[in-house]
Amino acid sequence: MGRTASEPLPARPATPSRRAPLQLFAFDDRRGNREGAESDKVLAFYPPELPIDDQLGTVGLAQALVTFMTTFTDGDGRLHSLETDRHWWAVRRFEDGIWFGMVVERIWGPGRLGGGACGALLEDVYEWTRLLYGPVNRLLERDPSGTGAAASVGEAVEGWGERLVGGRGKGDKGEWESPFGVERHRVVPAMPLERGALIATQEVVGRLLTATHNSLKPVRAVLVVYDNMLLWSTMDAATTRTVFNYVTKTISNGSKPQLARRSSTLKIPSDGGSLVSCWPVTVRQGLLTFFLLIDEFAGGTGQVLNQVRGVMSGRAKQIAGAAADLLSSRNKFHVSGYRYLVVDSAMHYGTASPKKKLAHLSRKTLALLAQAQACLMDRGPDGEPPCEGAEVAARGDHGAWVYVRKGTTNSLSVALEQLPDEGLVEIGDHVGKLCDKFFPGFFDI
Amino acid sequence: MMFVPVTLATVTDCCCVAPASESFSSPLLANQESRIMGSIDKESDNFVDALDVPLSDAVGPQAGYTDDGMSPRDSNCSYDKGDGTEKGKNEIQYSTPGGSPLLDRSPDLPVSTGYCTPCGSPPNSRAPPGDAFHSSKAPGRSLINIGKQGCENQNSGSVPNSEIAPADSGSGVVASLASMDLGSLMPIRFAKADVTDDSYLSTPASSTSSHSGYPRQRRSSSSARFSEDLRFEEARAQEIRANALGRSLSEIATEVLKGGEGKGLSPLEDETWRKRGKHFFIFSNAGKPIYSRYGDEGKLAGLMAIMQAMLAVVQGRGDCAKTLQAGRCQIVFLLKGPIVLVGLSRVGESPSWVSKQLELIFFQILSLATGALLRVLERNPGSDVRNLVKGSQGMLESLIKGFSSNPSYLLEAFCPVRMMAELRSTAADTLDMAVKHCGAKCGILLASGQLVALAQDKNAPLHVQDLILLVNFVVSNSQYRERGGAEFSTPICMPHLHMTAFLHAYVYCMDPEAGVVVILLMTRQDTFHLGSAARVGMEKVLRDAGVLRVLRGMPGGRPGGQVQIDELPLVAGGGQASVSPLLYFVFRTKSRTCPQFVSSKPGTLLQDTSNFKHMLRSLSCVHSAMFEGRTSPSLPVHQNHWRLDDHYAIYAQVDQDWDCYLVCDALADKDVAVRICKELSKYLLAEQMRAELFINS
Repeated sequence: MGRTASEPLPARPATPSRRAPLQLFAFDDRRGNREGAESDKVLAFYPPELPIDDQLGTVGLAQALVTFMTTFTDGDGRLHSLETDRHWWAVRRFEDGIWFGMVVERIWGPGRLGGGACGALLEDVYEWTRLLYGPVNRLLERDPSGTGAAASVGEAVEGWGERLVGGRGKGDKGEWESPFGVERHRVVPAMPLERGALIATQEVVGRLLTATHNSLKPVRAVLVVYDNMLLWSTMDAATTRTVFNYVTKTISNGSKPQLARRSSTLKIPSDGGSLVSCWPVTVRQGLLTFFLLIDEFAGGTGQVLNQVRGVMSGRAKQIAGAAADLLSSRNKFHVSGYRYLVVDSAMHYGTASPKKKLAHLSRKTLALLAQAQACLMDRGPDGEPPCEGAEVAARGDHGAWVYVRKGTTNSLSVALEQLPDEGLVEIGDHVGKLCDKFFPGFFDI
Repeated sequence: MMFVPVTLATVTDCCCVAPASESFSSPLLANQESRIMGSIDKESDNFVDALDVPLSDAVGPQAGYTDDGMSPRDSNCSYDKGDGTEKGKNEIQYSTPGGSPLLDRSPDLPVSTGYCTPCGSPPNSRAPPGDAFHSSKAPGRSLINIGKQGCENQNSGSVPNSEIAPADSGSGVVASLASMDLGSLMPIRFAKADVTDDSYLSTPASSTSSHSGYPRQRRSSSSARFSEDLRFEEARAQEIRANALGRSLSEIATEVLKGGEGKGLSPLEDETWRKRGKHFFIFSNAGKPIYSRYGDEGKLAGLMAIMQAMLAVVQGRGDCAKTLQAGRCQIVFLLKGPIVLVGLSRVGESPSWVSKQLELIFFQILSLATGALLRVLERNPGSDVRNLVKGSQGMLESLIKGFSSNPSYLLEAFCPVRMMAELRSTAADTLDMAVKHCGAKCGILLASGQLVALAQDKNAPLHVQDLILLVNFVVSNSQYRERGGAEFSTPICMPHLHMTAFLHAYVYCMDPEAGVVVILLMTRQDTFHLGSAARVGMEKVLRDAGVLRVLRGMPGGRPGGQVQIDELPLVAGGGQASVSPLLYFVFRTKSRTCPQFVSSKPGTLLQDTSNFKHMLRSLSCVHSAMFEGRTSPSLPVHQNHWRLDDHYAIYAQVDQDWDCYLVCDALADKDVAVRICKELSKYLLAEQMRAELFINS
């Protein structure tokens, strides 16, 4: 008997290049448009061992997707994503002619969360590249052959690829595959200090910023981190996030794969918007890290460091002790019965339930929450923010509730697995109480 | 439009003269039908008898239905009425609007053995002369040369077939892309997945042998391992070819989309065309255009070839593209055998809903053209089948418009007419009797496009999608709706029942003003007279019982809207518009045979068509979120869903027997929505109201 039309066709077997769960690349669409010189187009590719023909095939298709979409959309600065049976493709232009893209398995890392998460990862990779080397186009201006740019961008892209995938597939991708991951939402985890420690931190930071050398103030910015949580920053929210990434991914201790630490300068935006080069200086007191960005041309770094030590003596211990006390109660950020994530998009700040607690959530609940988040947070395809005061609540077929609420610049995601018999109204009340108790005024609209 | 006279029938009392001005059929259809008719006229009636086997007796090609779409539709339709009327007294035409030539075996359709060449190319694919791609695109040249050479080696001496190239497919790059690059990729997919594609349309007889005609043999474990290695190597080889095409694809896309189409002529240059909210494209997996909602398919050949090239590259990597998104614009791909359907939407619909729309379009096309359309394309991917679906454009347009105005397609449910229980019961009983009397597989009574009664075999019900598309087929054709007193018989395929077989729809409009139409799905064409007789009896009963009078008094317009919000109890969201937070609701009852939905008449805020469409899109997003990724059709992913945005507060609840979707104003509280849902379901399911609103299934 013939098949009916509704029956799906079986899937085809996997092909060899599917072995890598992640392909990360950067290309310049103005280059390599000459016969035989196509490889000039590719500035970076992870995994680098993939044959060049395969790399060009991936990049060529990514570029074709973008070219094709320009038939129907204006402007190519936005994220282009392609969902396939087994992969997510994401391509985005960050500078004139400079595109970053990725191909990731749907069951791996950001692929679990969809195109929006892939786009967020691409932004991180690009910002990382810019922090270390400056704009890619400036690199290409310095060296029109593209060799220098390819080396620099390649180092960043491959570093990120290695970090995510890891040597044996055990890279640090957790934050990118959970809807509770702060990295997926492009925020940093922050720790609200108690008043005394806060004033002490403020005092130390203030003295560092005003420290002088040859009548100059060499310290441009300060970031204070305790155990991979942000305590203080003197930079704007976006730069804070990028620098925080640098600090936690290169300096802080931990078992996760670290990105290569560089001794060169970092490029951060100045008040005028242009990028300035700064030397990164790290001063540590146990888990407490003071990360200073010192003007490249200030000179006298040694003397500055001595001043810093003087300023920090005593105070640093107090701050570290306060932070340790705060974290000593193991479940400081745990609210019984709730698994939550609060995100302040304007400040790039986020707080979530402890990771150990989140680890017990079922895949179904995570998928449900990711879907609900996508409804609200990923909306705004033309870059416009999602509507304010929007909320989505849903109960899955396994009884778990998820609740996502979007305020002006903040959002709250909650998963409740232990209240299967409660209705929508009761769940709304529970979440309201959570907000009032722990985040008062945060969602007042 | 022009109806094609199929044959001459003799009746004494029914009159149906096919007008010569309107038809679903394209000129090609008409020509082909005429030609076929000419040949049939010369043949004896035995030709028909040999083919016409009741579907109810044995479903499936082995039971008498020819798997190649051979049709008895155009047979001599003289019939003997049940009342003993003798043939040949009056000669009246009856016609087959919406018929497809694919239902008939065309003597000059190419008979191919499929893709059995190692290079996988269609046996007769040829490179166009003066191919600009060959001359200028070095990266693709090696690929093409490999494919071409292999193809030539295999097929040297093969006779070129009657492949029809799109007239406006463009020259140079586009033509070469469409005919060569894809040809070198796609057939390999078929060769590798020969079992799959063979079974897609094959009959049991054909499944015992491979495409090459050799019987398949059981493999030993070592040969299986060898085969696995071979498959791996093949996959790698295909991936290399895909990458080779991929690396030059962007250049080709740039050339085609930004200048290769001829400036001023291509729709791609037309800003209005580009900014349309929704596009639908259909093309073969060789990149040949079949259908475009807007614009001339021929002038869009390059665009479709690029799309197919992209899909081919993704497929070459062992994957399948689903959705491409940039900003508000999302493009959804649906691959159905040798046909590719593409939907572009920038109006905020969810990808899964767009995909479902594509599926419905595909089945709607198949309902006319049958799976023979797929067979033609599988035999010869380069075939130009535009003309074969041109006749269904009006029907497709009606379907596409329905996507944004009629919840029936989203919910896959019928919209029943609201009427008194006794009258509905009379209508249902009468239809049931008529169906039994004439031995029909299914009977449908419609009024203004809404369902009055449905009768079918409960043990073997037809698929809901098939029936909904059948309703669209009838409603979208003004001939069926408006020509009172005319009897029509048309073959129609029920793709979910069988892709290549078809039933005969007897269609009769009882009341053109109220759009009261009866459809009887017959399994044999020569039972037309039985359908006609059953209809006569049915019409008499309905008229005498006053059913037709009641139906005539019903308001027409948009499907749904059986209940006014202000007639609801206050606790169920009733009351004046300024008082009630409820703007709109849809209530769907679950049933395997006859799922139905009741909706409210849109309130003041939703009277405007654009507002209503916007609301329906929001509703579709909620529905998609609830049902996307479900493992069972009856089990949603979400049991409750609440969504609040700038415009609406939408609450949806799925119960064991029903789904309820409420659209409230954005200031409504959750508890209000939950209460309304609870009370509304009680109210609608109360015995009296239920009998009035829903058909007893």
